Amino acid sequence: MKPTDELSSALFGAARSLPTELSLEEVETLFLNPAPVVLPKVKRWPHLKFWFMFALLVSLLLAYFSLPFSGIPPQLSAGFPVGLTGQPVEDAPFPPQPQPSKKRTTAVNTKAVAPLPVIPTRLAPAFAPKKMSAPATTPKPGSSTSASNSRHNVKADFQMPAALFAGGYTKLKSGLVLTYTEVENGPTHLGFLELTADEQQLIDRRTSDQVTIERAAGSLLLYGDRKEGDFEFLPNTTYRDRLNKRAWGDAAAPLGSVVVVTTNNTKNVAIPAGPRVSVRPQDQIWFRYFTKDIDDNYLALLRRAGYTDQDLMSLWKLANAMIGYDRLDELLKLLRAVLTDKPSLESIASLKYEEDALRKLKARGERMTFEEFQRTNYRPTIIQALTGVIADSTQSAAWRETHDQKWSTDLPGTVTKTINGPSRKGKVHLKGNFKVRISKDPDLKEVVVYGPDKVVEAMKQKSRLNTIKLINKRKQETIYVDMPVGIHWTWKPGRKINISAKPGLR
Amino acid sequence: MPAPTDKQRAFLTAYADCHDDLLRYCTTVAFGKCDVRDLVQDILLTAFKHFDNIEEGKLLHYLLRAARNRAISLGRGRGCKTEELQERSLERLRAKGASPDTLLDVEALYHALQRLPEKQRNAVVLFEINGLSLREIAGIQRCSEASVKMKLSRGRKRLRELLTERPRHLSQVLLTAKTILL
Repeated sequence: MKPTDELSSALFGAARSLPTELSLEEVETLFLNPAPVVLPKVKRWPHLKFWFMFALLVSLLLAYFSLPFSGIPPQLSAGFPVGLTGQPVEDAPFPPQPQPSKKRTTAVNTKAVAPLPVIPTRLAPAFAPKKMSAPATTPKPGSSTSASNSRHNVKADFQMPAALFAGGYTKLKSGLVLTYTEVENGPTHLGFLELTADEQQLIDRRTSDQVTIERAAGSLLLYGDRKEGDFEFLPNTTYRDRLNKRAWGDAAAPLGSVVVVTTNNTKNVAIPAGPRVSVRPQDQIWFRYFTKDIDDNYLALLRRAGYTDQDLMSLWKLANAMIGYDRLDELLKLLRAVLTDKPSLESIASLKYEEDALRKLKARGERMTFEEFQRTNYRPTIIQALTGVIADSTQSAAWRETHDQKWSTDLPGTVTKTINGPSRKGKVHLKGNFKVRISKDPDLKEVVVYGPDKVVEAMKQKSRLNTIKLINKRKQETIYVDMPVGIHWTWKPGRKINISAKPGLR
Repeated sequence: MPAPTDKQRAFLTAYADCHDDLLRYCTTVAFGKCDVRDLVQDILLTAFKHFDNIEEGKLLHYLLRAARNRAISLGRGRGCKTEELQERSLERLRAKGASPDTLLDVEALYHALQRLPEKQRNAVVLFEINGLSLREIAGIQRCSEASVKMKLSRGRKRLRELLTERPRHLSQVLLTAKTILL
């Protein structure tokens, strides 16, 4: 027998000779009166340590194998680029890579390859239905209706929602002048879309032929370059239906309630020709919802001002009056400061022309009801009138004196120079210390500039009539300009321009 | 303690013949894994529940099988530490009159048995400690006698190796780990 066998035999013998751990009596007691089994406490995460270590190991391995290979082992690169002087030698330039020959024709080389026929593509907005149709032709400026009609005649597998309006656009500094027709062979309408900073960037930094300006009321698809091109307006039918369902949309606009500005020319910048009643008032109103960006924020502003759902049924009138968010905010603040009661939305639409009167009342610290405001018809009380007359007469006399002495030998208000060029244009930039008087005479079709001959002459020379920009280099000189109705005003942000209507100026 | 019923009395009578074998087996398989008291109580209650279905003379087989399975189950959820359980078991044996030398030998044997594969350990314990025949072991393990013989042979061989094996030094363990990793 091997010693190991002896050992194991001895050990087994010891195990066999062991007394039992529990006697028979103890076992009987256990059986007859069993103690509650103390089950081992179940661990909530029995293998937590294992899995933690496993995850750690795996992550370490992954990190090890995913480390970027430096390429050159340090022992090879260390000390290698050292010259005889012991100074580090500059890295030798890489051998020149073979450059592609300029004569080589590539797919991008438009000179070598004949241009492929361009098929206009349209990015569908988020609200567009799934079924879409690709347009067959690019819409032409001024013939939007026919273009869109021809597009609808094309049989395609999918169909795009019909454009509400289509036409041409001209990019100005901060907005787009839009020309479009309501009906085929109808008069061309003029519209203006003020762009936000983001939208301007989108157009200025465009990389493709098409840019989409999306707002709550719809999308404006622009095909063209940074200056001009064609546009299509696709309404957001979901949002339109939602508003119309609550009678806040365009459905309430009756025929004859919407007036649009027409134009005779569509090239370059359109010149307003005169007002005309829209034959598609509801679509026109919805287009104004878009141009003035009437969205939920707009509604929230009105709600904060205390207007109820019932009041919002006249929301279309604000759109019709082309009152945007900023203008509405300003107007509401004025009204809150002057009026003791809350005017209706319809009244706000009309009060936008009375901002000057409201400002004066606010400056005087007067408060009144809307009815009183209407009854006074913006006329001051007797005492105010007297003081106003005195003040006005004093100012007028001083102004006349100055005018007579320095500016002109003519009577005050006499037209010294008439600039015919930009008068019909849609937009005027004024720089400098201007005093501008806006005439509300609809017959006035020209921009009339009052001021000394020198100033007016200098302004004529400096101004670019084709871009409708009046530049007054002599900022200390004050000139007065009359503008036709419907003209769009923009000025540089931060530049203060006093707009005043002096009595007796004309 | 309530008086036992007839069925309980009959069960205890039948159990008395199996007591020594079961306890030795339980002490071996439960060493360091679970408490023998819990194991025995659990087995007896289960056996009593199925006592009517157990064939006459097969109670020991049933109890041993149950002890094996139950020890594995209890061993999975270790409520106590191994050292604590081992100490508790040895303390009970010491209280029953086991000499310290015997306990030292037995502890070494139990440690070596714990390192055997489960089937081999079972065969070795039943044959060497409990003194069961090959046929009885084959009946308990529900396998052939030849299979039991093979397990016994391999178990003994492995046990000899384990008993004569020198304890590993830490440097050897590290060297082995390094070799595996590299």
